[in-house]
Amino acid sequence: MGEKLDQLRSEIPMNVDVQRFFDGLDEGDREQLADLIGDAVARQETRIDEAGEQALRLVPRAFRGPVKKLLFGDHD
Amino acid sequence: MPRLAVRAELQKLARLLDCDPGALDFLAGQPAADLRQMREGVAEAMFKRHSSSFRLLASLSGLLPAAITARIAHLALGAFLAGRVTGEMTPKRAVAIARKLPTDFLAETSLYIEPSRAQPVLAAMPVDMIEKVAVILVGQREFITMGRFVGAVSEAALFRVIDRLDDEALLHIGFYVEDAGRLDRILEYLDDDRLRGVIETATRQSLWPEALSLVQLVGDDQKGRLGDLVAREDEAVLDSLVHVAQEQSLWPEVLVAVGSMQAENRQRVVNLPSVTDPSVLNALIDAAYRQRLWHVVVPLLAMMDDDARAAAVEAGLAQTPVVWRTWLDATADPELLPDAISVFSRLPERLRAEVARHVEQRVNEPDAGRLAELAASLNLSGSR
Repeated sequence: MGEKLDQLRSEIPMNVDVQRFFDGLDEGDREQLADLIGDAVARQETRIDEAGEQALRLVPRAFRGPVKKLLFGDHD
Repeated sequence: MPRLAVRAELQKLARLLDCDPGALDFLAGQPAADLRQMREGVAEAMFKRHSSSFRLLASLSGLLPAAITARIAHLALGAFLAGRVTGEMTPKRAVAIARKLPTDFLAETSLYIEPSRAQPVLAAMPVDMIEKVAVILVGQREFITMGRFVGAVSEAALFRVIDRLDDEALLHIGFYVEDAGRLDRILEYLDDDRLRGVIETATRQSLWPEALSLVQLVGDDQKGRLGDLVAREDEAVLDSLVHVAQEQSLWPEVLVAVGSMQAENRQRVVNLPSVTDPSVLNALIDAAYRQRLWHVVVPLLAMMDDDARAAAVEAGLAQTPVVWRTWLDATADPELLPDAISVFSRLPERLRAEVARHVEQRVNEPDAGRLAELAASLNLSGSR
């Protein structure tokens, strides 16, 4: 398996359909698709971080750390 | 050029991955159903990365009055996060908050809602609100979002929106609809006059691919109705359909539409001068071979006038041997055999003799099936 696909697997859970789709692609296409999905995941992280920071401005400064950890601290 | 369903899927995937659709051209050979499953799986996986945060935000929103939560969503969370959280709320709470939000913010938020997760919320949204949001989305040409919402909103809201949309928007949105059952209900709702308007718009605005994609998804009744409405149009309209089918390799889609027409309409369409052009006949035969559409094409050939039928057979004989053999083998199907006999036995002598030679070769092979009957009709005894 390619490096990018391995990395993607570590970032998002892949169900059977996604896994089967990747298995049906040749190596080059697999890496290309993994790259595009990885970029999309990274963009989503940025958006959520930005939205989270924006939302946390409503929280008194002293509580922002714990609230941030509570809301966005752990990924599923 | 990929099949229409694949084109629609790649555009939806590009939307999910926030990339140019052209960056996904390398997936154009994949089946649409596989692309859809993969896209849904990736969307779900991306959502799951933060689902606990979304759920928690949804729960916290329940602790505050709807007006304050709406204000926080609008001014602090933003459309992206609000869209993600929407699917985790109870419908009642989501509606209460949505009522306090500006329509343009709701429209922006809708871009980030996953309809499959938020179906109960979307179904509970008031008709007036859906209508206002839809008007904004159409203005922004957000047809992918609208198409994906068709299966999630209430039928009352759906019909209200349809009444507000022009025919061009209907065609664009229909291209992305995922719920085939809902598409049937939409077509049942549209009267013949409106559908004729849609067909005229497809011709005028070069939106035949969008119109044909509808035909592929709906059930047989609506398929036949659409096909017959198209067939009753002026020859210029039908010629434009033939032109687009030829230019964009859409013969499989057109053949499905023609195959569902009433017999008199099928006969009219297959004998149009534009259809009997040799290059078009070649494309038809090629489509029948590649998409296994002989069960549609053979009966259509039987309806052609003598010259067109002969030209079609000539086109078949000029294709590679495997195409011709597949055609012959398909005619061994008991349902196709009478039409095949009708096609081959009424050919000019020279062509009939050439077909007979091929049939004779094939009929002597062990797996020739009922081709002996075809051979007999061409006055070949066969030697099995």
